[in-house]
Amino acid sequence: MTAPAADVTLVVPAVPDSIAVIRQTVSGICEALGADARTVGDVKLAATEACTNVVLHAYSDGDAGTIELGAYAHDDELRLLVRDRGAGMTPAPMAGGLGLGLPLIAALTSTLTIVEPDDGGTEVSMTFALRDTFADA
Amino acid sequence: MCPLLAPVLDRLLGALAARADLSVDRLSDLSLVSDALSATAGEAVADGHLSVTATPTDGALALTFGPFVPGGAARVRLASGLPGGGDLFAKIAREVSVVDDGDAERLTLRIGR
Repeated sequence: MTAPAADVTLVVPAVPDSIAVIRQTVSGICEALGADARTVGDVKLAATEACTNVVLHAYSDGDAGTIELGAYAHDDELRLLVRDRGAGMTPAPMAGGLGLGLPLIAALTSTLTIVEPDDGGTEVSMTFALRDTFADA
Repeated sequence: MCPLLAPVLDRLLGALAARADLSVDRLSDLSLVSDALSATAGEAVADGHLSVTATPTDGALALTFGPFVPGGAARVRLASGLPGGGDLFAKIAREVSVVDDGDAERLTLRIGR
């Protein structure tokens, strides 16, 4: 993770069982920040998609890897960083699935940034507005 | 302490307990642990952050909390005491231990199924 220190950091094995732990953690963060129900759903879905990508694609078969989640809360915004230490992003034409993960994340977030850090892996940065602006209108 | 601690810790421990196949009673016990730590750890942590390490073992889940300042783990245990004077962590956990690595203390609860 990059500085400054996250408000919440979670490091879990990159296995399907960890997704539930991440979803619960993200729910707790959103609850503490007073996010509305729609936003909580969006954050959980985006986090699930990003972490599922790590489980499915980041590490070669048999490699033990981790998912690193960092949460940064400030004002009416939540930023989530999902980081792996795997092979980085590569084309995967035979990976199966609909390939909707990243477009879905982009649709759910205010900003989406994907980088390959110098020390390897992939880092997905997602920012969410914590209040439903349409509901306030 | 960060206002995120209580809701995040409660959900995190619940999810870890579920993944470790702990019973519903143990899951409920961990809510007490979460409440106690959320209320008391703020004064005892060494760097403003509470770290939680979960290690599933055969028939149990080991949860390590820290880093605490010297004497911090004991203060957390004392402040988490039950009204009758008992040690909450000792009643809930199969084993309670404090490790001092010289720089900080870490409190480990071994929770059985």
